[in-house]
Amino acid sequence: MKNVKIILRAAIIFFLLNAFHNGCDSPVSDIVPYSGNWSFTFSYVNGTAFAVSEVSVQDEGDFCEKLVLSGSGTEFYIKGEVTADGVVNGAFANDCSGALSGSLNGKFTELMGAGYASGTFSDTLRNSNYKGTWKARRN
Amino acid sequence: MKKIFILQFLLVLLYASVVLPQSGKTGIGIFSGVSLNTNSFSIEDDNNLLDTSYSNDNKAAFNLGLFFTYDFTENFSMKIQGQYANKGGITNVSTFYANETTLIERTYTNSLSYLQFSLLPQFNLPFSKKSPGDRAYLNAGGYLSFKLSASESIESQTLLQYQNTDKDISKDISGTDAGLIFSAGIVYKGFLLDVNYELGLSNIVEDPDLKDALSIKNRSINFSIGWTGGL
Repeated sequence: MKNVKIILRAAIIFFLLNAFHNGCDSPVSDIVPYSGNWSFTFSYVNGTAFAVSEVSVQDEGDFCEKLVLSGSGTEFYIKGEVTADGVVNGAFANDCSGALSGSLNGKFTELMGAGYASGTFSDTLRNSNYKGTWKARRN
Repeated sequence: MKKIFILQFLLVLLYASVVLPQSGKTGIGIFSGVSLNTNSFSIEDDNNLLDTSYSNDNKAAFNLGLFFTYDFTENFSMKIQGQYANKGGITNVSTFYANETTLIERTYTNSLSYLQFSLLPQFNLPFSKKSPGDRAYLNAGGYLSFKLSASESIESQTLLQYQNTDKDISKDISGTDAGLIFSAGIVYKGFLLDVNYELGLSNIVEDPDLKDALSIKNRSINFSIGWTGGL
């Protein structure tokens, strides 16, 4: 009887662990090397940083996060995709399902565990000053 | 360039063994041991990579080499050393659960092999006048290393799966490394016990996309035993 209880408890724990995690985890071979949290900083052409965003790159490389402009507090979204080779292409939007404008391009690189990304962006339709460079590091 | 330097080094050793007085002032030795290696990371105008997603561990490795010493006085010598050195380190990067993001722990075991040459001024404290070869010593000097190979092994671990990937990073790592060495040791009846700390000063990143933004430097603590005797 005691053994039956132990087996029953173990089965319940195993079931709960499976229920929480099965179906959520992607196969490890499908996860891009750059998945995880990155801290983006956007700078004008003159080098002055004007916006930051904490971006979570998803398993397949997609991301969509809020971009907050320092000072004005203006908010919009950056949306894009990083390939397994680290090439990133994206654009800007009012929300994650909204129409895209402008462009964001660059490259993610990783060496000995240290990650870094950089590139250029432009969204002069939104604001004539919104163009320059961006950089990002793991966070 | 590398071949010319190695040839020059061998000529200096030959000169040291042939021309310098053969009166017990010139010594030769071999050593081997283990080293604990890590890397220091810094990213452009930002903090070190010490946020919550990163952690560094030491990587144990093997070293082997030989050295020549010349005693200018009882208390001052010069040591020229050549060795195989395996450096690098272990970096852990964690990714936490988020929307469409799997919790994954990535462990990078970085292995950088070098042929390393050192020039080490040495302060000696002989144990007795009768046997000046038995002594404690302190070294402070510099090293220049030439890369032989560079690779990283990436272990990716989720809750349910594991994957290992090996990557050749020799094109992304600089061909040379230079730094300082501080060491202490004792020699007794020809047997040598030495501990040293190697502080890399060069940024070893060569990758054009990274080298202006990321700086990685070698750090090592070496524990060696060996043998030394007069020529």
